[in-house]
Amino acid sequence: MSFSQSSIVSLRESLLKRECSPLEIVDQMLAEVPQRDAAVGAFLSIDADLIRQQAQQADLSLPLGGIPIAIKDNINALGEPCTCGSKFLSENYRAPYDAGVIRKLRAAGAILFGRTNMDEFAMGSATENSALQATHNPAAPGHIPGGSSGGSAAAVAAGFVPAALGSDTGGSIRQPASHCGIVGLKPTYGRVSRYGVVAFASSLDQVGPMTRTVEDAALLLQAIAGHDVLDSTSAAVAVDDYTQGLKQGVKGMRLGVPKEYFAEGLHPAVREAISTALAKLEAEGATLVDISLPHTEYAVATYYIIAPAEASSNLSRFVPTSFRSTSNRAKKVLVPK
Amino acid sequence: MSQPHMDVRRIATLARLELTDEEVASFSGQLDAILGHIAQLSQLEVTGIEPTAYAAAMAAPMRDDTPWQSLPSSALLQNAPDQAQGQVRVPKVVADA
Repeated sequence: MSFSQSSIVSLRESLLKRECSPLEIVDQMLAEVPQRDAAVGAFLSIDADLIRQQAQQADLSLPLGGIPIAIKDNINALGEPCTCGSKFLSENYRAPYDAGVIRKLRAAGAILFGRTNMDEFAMGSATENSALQATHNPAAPGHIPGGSSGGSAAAVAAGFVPAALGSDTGGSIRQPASHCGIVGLKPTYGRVSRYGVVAFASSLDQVGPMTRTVEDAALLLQAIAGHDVLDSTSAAVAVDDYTQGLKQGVKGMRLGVPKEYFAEGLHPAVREAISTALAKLEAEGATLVDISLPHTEYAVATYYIIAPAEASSNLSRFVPTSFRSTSNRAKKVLVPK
Repeated sequence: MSQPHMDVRRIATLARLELTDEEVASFSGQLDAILGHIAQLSQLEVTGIEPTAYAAAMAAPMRDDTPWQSLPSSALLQNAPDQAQGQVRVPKVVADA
């Protein structure tokens, strides 16, 4: 039995029917993934010992019991690297604690399976700005997977893992998910804890699910959503059941279609794909309503004031004066004469 | 409105970056283009509109003052390339007078 291309739901079924064990799943993945990933470059590191240890202890009675989930390399998990796609954090750093979402994943029985590549400090849209390696789109060799969560998107799209966590500040989950043909969701701000997630722009950052199916995205969000006392920006709002209504379809829904999203510069193939999707939704019983979001054209400019300003504040802790690891070019301007 | 301009050499000094003349020329054009893009915001009519500081309808809450186990300093110092007396030691960054 091959677990490649499996969803969370189908793996859970196999596990609960005792058709396979968590250890069999991760052993097969550990045998296949590093080899197949040579052509994709989705993973920065895979710690086989840690993964097998988790699989041996997996509690199948939990909602994600025995399910391997890849983690973007800007989310701290005890004892694992957290490079943020940067060179200097790849040299020595090991996370001394679990991020809020990692605690929740462990509590839900998930197995943390490897650390995924990303644009350095999550700044980029192609995963070409990782200081460590480039990630390729599994569906189209020689093409980018999108970014910054390109490693997570590629790992899921290639069938290496059923699901991964990404982070999204200005599209870093949604855009690579779209490029790789998987499901990616940026949760509402405050829905998911950012404790232990290396900050980029704190008024925008959110962690979210990247999966092969919508149902899996609901299950994974279910596991990570909720208030965290260690993140004062996480909302103290009850977590709904995200799987409820999944089978109800779109009949009777009114969907707004903002005309500004079909502006100049939209690629004809993208326009056609959206039109096809809209026609499908309409055929399924949804009502499409033309709407206008007149400030859309100002969104990118506004983003590029807020995000870099917050990044400058958040990342100042990493200025090279604080560390031994400094490029020779930087040394020239840093080291006192 | 005059074309916005950024002094790349000054920014590079503040950022402790060493740039070649070619890089200065290349980044100068790029940064001015970015400034030009952002300058379009000044066309927006915002008089009488209340400023929005936070998109989420949420006040910054105070946490209950409950002590709990913090990370031991040994766990944190594991990541320091160099340490002394239980603290992180960093390269000298201030020149002698």
